This record gives sequence, C-alpha cells and structure tokens, in this order.
Amino acid sequence: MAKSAFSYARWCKLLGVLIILAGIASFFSKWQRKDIVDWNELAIGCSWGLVFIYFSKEKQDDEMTYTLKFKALAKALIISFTITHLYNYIALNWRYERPHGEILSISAYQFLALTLVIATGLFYYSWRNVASNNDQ
Amino acid sequence: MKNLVKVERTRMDLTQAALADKVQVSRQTIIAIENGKFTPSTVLALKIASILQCPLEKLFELEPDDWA
Repeated sequence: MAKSAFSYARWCKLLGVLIILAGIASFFSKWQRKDIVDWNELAIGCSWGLVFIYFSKEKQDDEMTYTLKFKALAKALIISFTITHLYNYIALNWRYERPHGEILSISAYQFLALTLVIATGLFYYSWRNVASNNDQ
Repeated sequence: MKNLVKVERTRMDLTQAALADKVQVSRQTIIAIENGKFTPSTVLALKIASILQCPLEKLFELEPDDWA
C-alpha cells in the first residue's frame, strides 16, 4: 500500500483548530481595543490553521482520500482564484466610496484561507456523497 | 467502469469491512467502489481481485463512456 501523501500527523488537525481560534481571538481583540477591523489578521490564523487541518492525515487514510482531496483542492483553487481576481479587479479599478473596514483587495493570506475553506468543505461533502448508500 | 465487486464479495461471504481490512483501505472506499463512485488504482484493483479470487477483467469492465 502506498504511504500517506499527507505530511502531517492526525493530531495536527487539533493544532490547526487552535491556530484558527488564536487568529479569531486576535481579530476580535484588535477590533475591541483599537477599533481596527483587520481581516488580514483573521486570514493569517485561518490560513495557517487550515493548512494543518487539510494537509494532515484523515482517520480513514487511503487512496480514495488522496483522490478526493486532490480533486477538492483543484476545484477550490479555480473558484477562489476567480473570486479573488474579480474582487481585486473591481476593488482596485472601480473608484467608489468604501465603508470603514471593507477589504481593499484580497491578500495572499485571504486567498489561501478562502481556497482551503472551499477545499475542506468540498472534500467532506464529496466524502459523504461517495461513501453514502451503505447497504450494511 | 462497472464492476462485480459486490457480487463476488457476497459469493465469497465477505462483509465490506472484512474486504476493506484485507486490502487495507477504509470500508467507505469499498462502498464507493461497489457503487461505481470511485475507480480504484491498478494496485488496489489487483488486490481486490486476488482476495475475491476472480480475474481482474471479469471483476472490472470498461463501459463505452470510459473510451470517450
């Protein structure tokens, strides 16, 4: 049997969740204390956390998992790149008054977080779909 | 690709979990293969054929769509 294609041990998922929680805490702390809505701060925590969650081994780790993860990541990349490109094009080219706290353009951290959120969702959705119709 | 994994597994009196255990994959993977939702790699297909004591070409059969 092929060795796992994913680098991180299963416990790294917990580490990922903790990093995301730290990112969320940092985001709200900055918002409350300094009245700064720093979406990039949130995205840094989420992107690092999601890297550990997505690229660590699953409970059922076999070739179907690798295939589904690869397909989910490929779809997510296209979707998030399209969203990022459209948002950045509109935000950077159309001049209009923006309310306080609105994202000026999507950063690399936000792009990565968006990609991995979509990929994680797609992976678990397709996993449930593929493994359904259990007859035993 | 259609397959006779479910038929041959039943003939061998194996559960999905038992087959999964023998070929070292999850039960969900066996379910997905039986339902035609996942096409196994050559190695996994050969392992399943070996456990079910059935020729590979009988166990897995190409459909016209696979040539498109």
